[in-house]
Amino acid sequence: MHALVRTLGIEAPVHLDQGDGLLASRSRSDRVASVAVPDITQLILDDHDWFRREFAALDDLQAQAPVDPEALAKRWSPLAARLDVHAIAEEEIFYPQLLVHGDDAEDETLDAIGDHNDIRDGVHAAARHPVGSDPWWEAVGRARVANDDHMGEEEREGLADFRRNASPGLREALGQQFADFLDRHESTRGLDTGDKDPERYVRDIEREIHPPDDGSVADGSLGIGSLKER
Amino acid sequence: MTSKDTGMTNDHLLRGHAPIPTTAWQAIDDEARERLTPLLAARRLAEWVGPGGWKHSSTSIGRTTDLAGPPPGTSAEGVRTRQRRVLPLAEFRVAFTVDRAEIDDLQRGARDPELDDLARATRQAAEIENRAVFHGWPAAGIDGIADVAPYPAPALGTDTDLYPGVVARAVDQLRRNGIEGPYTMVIGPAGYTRIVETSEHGGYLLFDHLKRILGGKIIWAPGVDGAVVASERGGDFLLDVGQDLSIGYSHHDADIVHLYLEESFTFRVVEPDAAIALL
Repeated sequence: MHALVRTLGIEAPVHLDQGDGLLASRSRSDRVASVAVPDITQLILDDHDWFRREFAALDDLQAQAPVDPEALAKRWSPLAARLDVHAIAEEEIFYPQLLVHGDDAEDETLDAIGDHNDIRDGVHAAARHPVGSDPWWEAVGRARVANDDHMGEEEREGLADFRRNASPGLREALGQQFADFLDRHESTRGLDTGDKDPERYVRDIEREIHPPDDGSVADGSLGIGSLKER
Repeated sequence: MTSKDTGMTNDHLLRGHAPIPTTAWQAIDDEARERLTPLLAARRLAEWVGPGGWKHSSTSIGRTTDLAGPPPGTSAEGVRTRQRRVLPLAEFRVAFTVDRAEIDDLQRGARDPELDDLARATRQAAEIENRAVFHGWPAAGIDGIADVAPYPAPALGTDTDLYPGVVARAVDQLRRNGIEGPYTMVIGPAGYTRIVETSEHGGYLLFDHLKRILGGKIIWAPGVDGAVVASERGGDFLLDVGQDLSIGYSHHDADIVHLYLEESFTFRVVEPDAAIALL
């Protein structure tokens, strides 16, 4: 599979998958070689493509008789980790900026965080069952459905909104941050993979974007401030 | 978000060192905020100044004290020397604990965390602030509103039939001294409960009657003895906050995380005539 990365104005193909389900091709050295920084919306789309192909690869493994749990685990493990890491990367880097620049960002973000929770629930449920068992397939299926729904919606709404409203420079700068985040987190170790309350998430980001007049958020406080008008 | 937990401005809270993931931190912060907000009565009356941050140490009161003279060895002829007077901020920390099992449950998505000790700490912290504002904190150099009010303090008592008359006379006293309304009555929990549970003859709620007399609010105020009637016109009472109420990390063991609620503040009454205490 190839993704197109702008390199000094030339569309250059970069191999994203080496066929073993791992993401070694997304290493820093590859990006350094490409010189230009990819746009964050492009990087998210790249991940989406990879997710679709990896779920399809699971279909192929499921079609084999007998099913090889070891092969399934080898395919699923990096996919599960990347689903978690991708969601967190979006929550750390993309959605806060969408909330700044997007036209309909609040609704898009609320939907996305809710979708991320559904994906996480499926991924984490799968981890509680033997690979290849019926409940494992059921949990993986739930993660896939939630992810498919999310990707389609995000591509139509959040990513499109961001392309319309964010400058190319910002998108590339965020692309660098997104790629760095993925480089630093090849697994979920050290990351909080728990569900997030969508409304609380949006509220917290919006408080950072538009701090109260008393500036109470930036100091690490609870941000209660004055209650005189309440 | 992450920057809020680890930002340079709140390093002293050491939140990043606590074994508390982001989701649990948010839940603890939210619980504290929700508990504190209805308790912080002083903030519903006083003007808010700040927050100046943890490094904010004093507030200028615009006054000076004469010094005996310039430094030794210099001529005092034609020289007048003064020292600025400031009101130093006081700080307090109220310790509390959270079970690590509760933190784990919060990470699992539990929506009913048992944070009883946090609830106790929020009550204690709010009472410290309320008490300092309304009744003073001598060791911190803070005079309370009730302490400096220059009027004889009428008795409010427990007989609610007398409340309209007492409050009306308090409002009249303020108005006759040139203190404009509307007026707020800040009252301790027992008195507040007496008011809201009382209907006067004809079924008219005492609460509504008193609000009509005041023209302003009736505020439930834990930590307040009796009540205070004060002008809402603004500028008479200044709450100068350095570090607004925050949660910091102390230490932990295998079972428990030790945290604390912290605030630095001072308070001053600019116009003592703007309030009257009711006993």
